Amino acid sequence: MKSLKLAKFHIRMMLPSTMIYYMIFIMVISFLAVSNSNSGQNSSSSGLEFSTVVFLFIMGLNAFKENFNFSQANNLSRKAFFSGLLLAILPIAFLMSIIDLVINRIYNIFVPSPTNYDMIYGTFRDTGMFDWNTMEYVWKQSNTFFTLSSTVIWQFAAYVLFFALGVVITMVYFRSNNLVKVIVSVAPIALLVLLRNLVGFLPKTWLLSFGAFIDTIFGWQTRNPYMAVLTFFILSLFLAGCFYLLLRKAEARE
Amino acid sequence: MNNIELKNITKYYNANCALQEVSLIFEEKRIYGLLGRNGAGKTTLLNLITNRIFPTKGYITLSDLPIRENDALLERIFYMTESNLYPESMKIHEVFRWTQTFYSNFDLTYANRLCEKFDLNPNKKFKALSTGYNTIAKLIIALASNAEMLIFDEPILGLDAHHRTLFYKELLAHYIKTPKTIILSTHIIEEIADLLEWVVILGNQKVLINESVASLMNRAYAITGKSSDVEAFVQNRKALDLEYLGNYCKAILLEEPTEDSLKLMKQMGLEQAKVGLQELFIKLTNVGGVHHEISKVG
Repeated sequence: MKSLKLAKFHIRMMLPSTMIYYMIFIMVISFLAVSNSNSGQNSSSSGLEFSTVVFLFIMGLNAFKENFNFSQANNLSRKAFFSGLLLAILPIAFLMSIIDLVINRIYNIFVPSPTNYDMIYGTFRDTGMFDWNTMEYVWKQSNTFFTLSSTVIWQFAAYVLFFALGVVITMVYFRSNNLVKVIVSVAPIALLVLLRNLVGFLPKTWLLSFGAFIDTIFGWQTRNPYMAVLTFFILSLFLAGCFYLLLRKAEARE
Repeated sequence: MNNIELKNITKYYNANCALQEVSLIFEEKRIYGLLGRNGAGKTTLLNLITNRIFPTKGYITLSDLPIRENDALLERIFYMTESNLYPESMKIHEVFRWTQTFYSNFDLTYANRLCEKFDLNPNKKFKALSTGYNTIAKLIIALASNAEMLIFDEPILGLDAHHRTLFYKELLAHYIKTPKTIILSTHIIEEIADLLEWVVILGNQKVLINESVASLMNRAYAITGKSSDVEAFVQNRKALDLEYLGNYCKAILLEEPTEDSLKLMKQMGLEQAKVGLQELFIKLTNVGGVHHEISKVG
């Protein structure tokens, strides 16, 4: 019960920034659509909903401190805060996924604009956007029920994952002292550099197996978006677990 | 019984010990004063009671049930802190509405009435408030929450004399109307002394005094007279402090005056006087004083 009330509070806190985001987003794509129809040139765009991923990641980064302090001011348990935040992001991510789909389908009337889903699992992978021999657009967006529903679910899963990632990163910084903050900041870059240098020394079979593993968990070869959805949910659950562990003994700070 | 019970609570911040083996009971429907010098562990104790932090050792119960992460129990306590934990961009009336969501007994009408009394504009945002009005807003939320237990940490921070008096009056009126457990933690002891029923004094990471104010005040008295006479009188008695002014001396004692001691005082020409709670607190918690020799009560 408390979790639901807190979820309502989280949604209330997220709503203004979400509305501003969509206002700006719609203004920008409207401008692009108008300028495209006026110029008479063959322009296109793709994966615009990635901006929602970035937005939700940033919202995740900002979703903790103020809301946690407020929950503490009202003597709510950390358990309630945890479940409240998770309950809040689910409807928000789902609604944003639907809004993005609707925006994409409308925008696609004026400017060809495949979604990330179209590019990974749709026909876009086979045809591309434009045939340079005939100078015509060859890609046609699928609007079957399966594509529409799968796009919404796939985007929803990705949005939840990136929001959770943002929350966990902010929690790690919140709980760490200065030294750990520096280590956490440098570690991803150091890891990338290390991997880049290590790749040459690793057995080729390992790399191929790893490639095949990535391929499978995101359903690339089989064109199964639900493999990726499952992967996103497993990763989200893992991040939620990390979030809970970090939250358990977190203390409110002004 | 709706008592808050702390059992063998120890709290460490890294290597620093804030509280050591503290056992206490806050009984229902009493007004407590939680006193202690800076760093004595008052806020730590209150934070522990309300789950803001967790003890290194020991546990806390409310109505004999562990309070840790228990929303049903936590809802019965409202804790007004010195720090502001409300969103800066939120308006006061919005905070009232949200608090009502989490505290089902929150009285919005009473909150608005208090806003008028304290001259607080509920349409203002938290960030627009001065230190004093920030405190007032939090006091109003606490009073209107109607929680069974109200905890105030530094409730008069930044308040002018008028607002302080108004707060004391409102608190007392609120308590008379709906008796509840109230814990007041403040350094302005003189002003709250008349409100308190019971006093808990912390020092050296421990509970120094846990006693009713009336009983403590009966035990404490001051004597003045010639230095040599006062020094002779306090021999083998629990004297907290001796203050010299020329040939004269004032001693504060913490023991029930007996018939014999009263007779002796008269013979020696010493004058007996009452001691205020604040003065007693200062003497009890004076570093290097003799407070550690005082036996604990309660």
